[in-house]
Amino acid sequence: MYWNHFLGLKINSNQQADLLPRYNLTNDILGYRRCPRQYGFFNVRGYVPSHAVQLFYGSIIHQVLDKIHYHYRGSENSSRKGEIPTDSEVETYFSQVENALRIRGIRPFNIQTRDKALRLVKKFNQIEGANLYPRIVDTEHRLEGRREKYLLEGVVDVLVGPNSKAPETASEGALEIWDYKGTKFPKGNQTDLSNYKYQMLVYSALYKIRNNVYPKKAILYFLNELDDKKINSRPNNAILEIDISYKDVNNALQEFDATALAIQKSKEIDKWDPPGIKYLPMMEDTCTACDIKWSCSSYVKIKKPHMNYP
Amino acid sequence: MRMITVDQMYSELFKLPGRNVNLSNKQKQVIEHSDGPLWIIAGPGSGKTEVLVLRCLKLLLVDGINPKSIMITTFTEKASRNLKDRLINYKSFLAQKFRQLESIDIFQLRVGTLHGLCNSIMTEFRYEAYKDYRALDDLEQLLFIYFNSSLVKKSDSSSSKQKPSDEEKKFWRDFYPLLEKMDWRTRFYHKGERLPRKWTRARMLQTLFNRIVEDRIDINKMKKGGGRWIVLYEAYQEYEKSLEEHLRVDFAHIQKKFLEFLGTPLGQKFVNGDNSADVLPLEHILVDEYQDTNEIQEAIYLALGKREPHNVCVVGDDDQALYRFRGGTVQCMISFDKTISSHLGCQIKSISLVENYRSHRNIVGWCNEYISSFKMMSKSGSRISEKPLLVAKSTIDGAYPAVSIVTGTNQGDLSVKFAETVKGLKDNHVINDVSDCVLLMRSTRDSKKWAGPFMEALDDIQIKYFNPRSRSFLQQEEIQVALGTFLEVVDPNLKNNWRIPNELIEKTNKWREASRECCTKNKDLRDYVERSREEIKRTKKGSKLTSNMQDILFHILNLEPFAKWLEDPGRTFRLGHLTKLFEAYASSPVFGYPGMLRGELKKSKDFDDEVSWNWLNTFYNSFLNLIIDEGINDPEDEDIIYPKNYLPIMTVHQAKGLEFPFVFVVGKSSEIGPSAEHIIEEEMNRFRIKPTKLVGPLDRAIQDVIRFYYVAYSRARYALLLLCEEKEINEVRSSNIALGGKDNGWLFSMVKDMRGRRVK
Repeated sequence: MYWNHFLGLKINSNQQADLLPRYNLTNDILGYRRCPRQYGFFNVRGYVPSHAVQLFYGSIIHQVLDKIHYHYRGSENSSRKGEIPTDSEVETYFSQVENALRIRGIRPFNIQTRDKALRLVKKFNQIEGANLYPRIVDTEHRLEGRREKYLLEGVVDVLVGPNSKAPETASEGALEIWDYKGTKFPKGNQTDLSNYKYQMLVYSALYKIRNNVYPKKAILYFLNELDDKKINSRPNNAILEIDISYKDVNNALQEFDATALAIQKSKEIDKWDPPGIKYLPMMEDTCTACDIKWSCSSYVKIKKPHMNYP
Repeated sequence: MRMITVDQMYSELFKLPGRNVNLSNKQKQVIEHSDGPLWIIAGPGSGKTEVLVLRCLKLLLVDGINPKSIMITTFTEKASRNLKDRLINYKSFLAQKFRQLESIDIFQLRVGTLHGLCNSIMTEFRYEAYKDYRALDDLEQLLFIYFNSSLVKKSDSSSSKQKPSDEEKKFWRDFYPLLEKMDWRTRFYHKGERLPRKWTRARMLQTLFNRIVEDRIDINKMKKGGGRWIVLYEAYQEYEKSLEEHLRVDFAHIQKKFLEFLGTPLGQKFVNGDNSADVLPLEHILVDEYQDTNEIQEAIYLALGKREPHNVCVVGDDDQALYRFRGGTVQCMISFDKTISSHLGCQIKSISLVENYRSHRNIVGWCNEYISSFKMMSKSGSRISEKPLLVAKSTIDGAYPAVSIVTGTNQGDLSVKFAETVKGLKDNHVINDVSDCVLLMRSTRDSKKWAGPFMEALDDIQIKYFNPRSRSFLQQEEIQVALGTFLEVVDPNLKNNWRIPNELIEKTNKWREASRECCTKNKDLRDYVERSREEIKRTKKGSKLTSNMQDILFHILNLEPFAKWLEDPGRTFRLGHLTKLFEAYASSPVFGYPGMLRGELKKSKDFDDEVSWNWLNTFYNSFLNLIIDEGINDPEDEDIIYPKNYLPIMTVHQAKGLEFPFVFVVGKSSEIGPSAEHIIEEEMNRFRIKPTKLVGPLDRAIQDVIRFYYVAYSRARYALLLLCEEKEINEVRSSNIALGGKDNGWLFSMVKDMRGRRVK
């Protein structure tokens, strides 16, 4: 009985400093809120999806827009500072990003997806260049915050100043945070819409930690609303301005706190539940491309999906 | 900006839950060291990573160094995540109290593995010679060499159009002793001077190519070596050329390119800044786990630290070097002081952290005696000279036997005693959970010799354990059924079996049987196979199928019994790994067909019910052969997450950096011989730009085993239990390295003493 030697010994299981887990606002929190099961398999358990479709579309749009902003600021070529890139320059940036994504194994689902992404960034550049670009103060603006049980990190696509003269000199409370979405305005989809709103409210909270004030506005830009040949100015549906009130921000933070706790719990027991059945009808995009939808109890119940053969 | 003082930093962090330990003077010396190179020799449990993290924070928050001017690296992805977590956590904790720290963007710090940082820096600086490369991981590199090297393509079968030249035959003959160590089957294949198997050749070339880069071999010097070295020279040239052609880069070459980058004006701009706020100079380089570094990494660190006052700070422990098989050379750590004085022409400050805060004093005592009980460890170049002993500083105390031996008459008996001990500890509430214990052994294979009996004993007593690497990947039921079902779909009739080696057909037939058996019990799976075959039949000859190979695998995984298996921790871990292997294969380029993907399937041009035989042929002979032989045997994977309520069974590589209240170590004598790495290291040493002093290959192999046990023992906090068969101890002068060297009488009296305490 070897264990006899140790009777009465009381051990302390953990003596490491308690590190808080770190979550990224979009990848982790929104990812888990969208679907815990999909998040668990592809972000935690190491499954590799058969097509990185969703990744392609979002990545290429964000990275090309970033290059366009970079171009405007003259970081690419200082002699061209303040110039809006031409269509052919946008195409060049697009193919650079496309190539970089391809070597990372991220490819479009089909040629239509690719063409659509290109069309949209060009349109965006035509419509927004003259008014928006001069107001941009910063791109890929990183924010972070400490909550009681976790650390939250996020990147805001652009910080926008009030006027085109000298946005950099704007006082901190006069700046707006903008986030680009590679989707249509989520009409009738309350889940996505409220998640996006929460996201912007939480960004606002993180912004306040760093700057002591809330941003002046929080704006979502739905790029897919630009996909219409006839359009030559910004359609109403393309942007959504979120009201920032202390109460709403607090509410959003509490929602995210609950999600963070849920992620932690799922991790501990390695169990990743499918989304609740009532949310499913609104998750069309998330589910269609999902590789494990046929074994998802919620999805099967609602959609009775046909298996693809082979 | 107003910074904080170092005392403010210490006293505030002291309040962080779980971190209320006072720092020793030595630790403070490291943290507060001002300028110039620093060499920290840090024993196990001395808080080395913590000290490095605090030093980094001090530079950031006290000295006000810009985060972009600090680089902090470590050896594995897992360790680099841990560094990042600690830095960000501590900084955010401090910023709660000192609001002025909020605006410091800690994400700008350059934290990561060295190759990861090399990649991101060259991308950030838009280095022309590194534009749009795709990095190959270990498996992708192997596939690349397999599909691309003409040495691998050659075949000596009578029908072959590409026969090896005499020089090439001699090349493989000369490397025969190494090949044999990599693949025991070489012996059978080599009879009558046959070429070794293709995958064995590819693996061998991969090892050699990586060595050339990592050891900084002067390839022209190597070429002058004549004979096989000329063949290797040419093969390496060919490899580099095709990497360029296909815009691919392996991890070793990322570092090689980075070293070249540092020599360019752009690289100098990265190191020295450009006097603007946009590009700041690199002021501090902090390196953890320096004992596992290699020659090219050392060269990079020296180049980065060239700028005065040479703020290169390395932390490591030569006794814990474990990564020789990945090109690590403990010599870099051992002689860092000399390297600094010869390359940078300055003196180095050296600090030894010997206080162990982890373990009971008897465990610390055992570790001290153990490592110094081998005369061979005192041979020149084996250990840092005059290294001081560890000093026990843990609050863990008590008169219980913190180091003891559990013995058994045979392996089975020993395993039962082990399982009973764990159960006794749990039932009597000494431990809170079985995951407070760990079982460490040199191999966690489910075989009679290794983990098998221990797993059986735990099963008998109903203790759950987690040992995902217990069997070779392909012996696992879920993997066999998944692959079997995949083949049943894409190749129902095995029409081209004459192109596939018999051995492979036998194996795949076994998987198919397993799949068919599963199909009899699971209607959905059976339907899937049948309807998929019909669908393939209906597809127009020569045209593309609607699903690629990854789709088909996922379709299978969605059906029972897989749907259930997806929720089992061990099975789901391995099935996830299978999706990764499929993706690696599917995304490897097809030579001569740019843009074409290997994962796409085409219907055969000639037959009605099958996929193109060309595709099948490559799938069998490349992919399946690969996973049978090579690519997936990675027992050193350090990224496994161990679930609660399970007793982990691990190799030391997985346990590295971890600690456990109760550590059980299986100590077993086994024959030790130099591995391929030891021999290659020896043979290629003379071609290095900077040849190093090495002890013989056998000695190095034995030293590696000694270090292995040293790391294992030093994981224990409350108790270390050695698991030994009776006969191993009875021969007091046995060759069991686990029990210490023959050169220390005291250690053996300790072992005997421990036996005396044994309860029968």
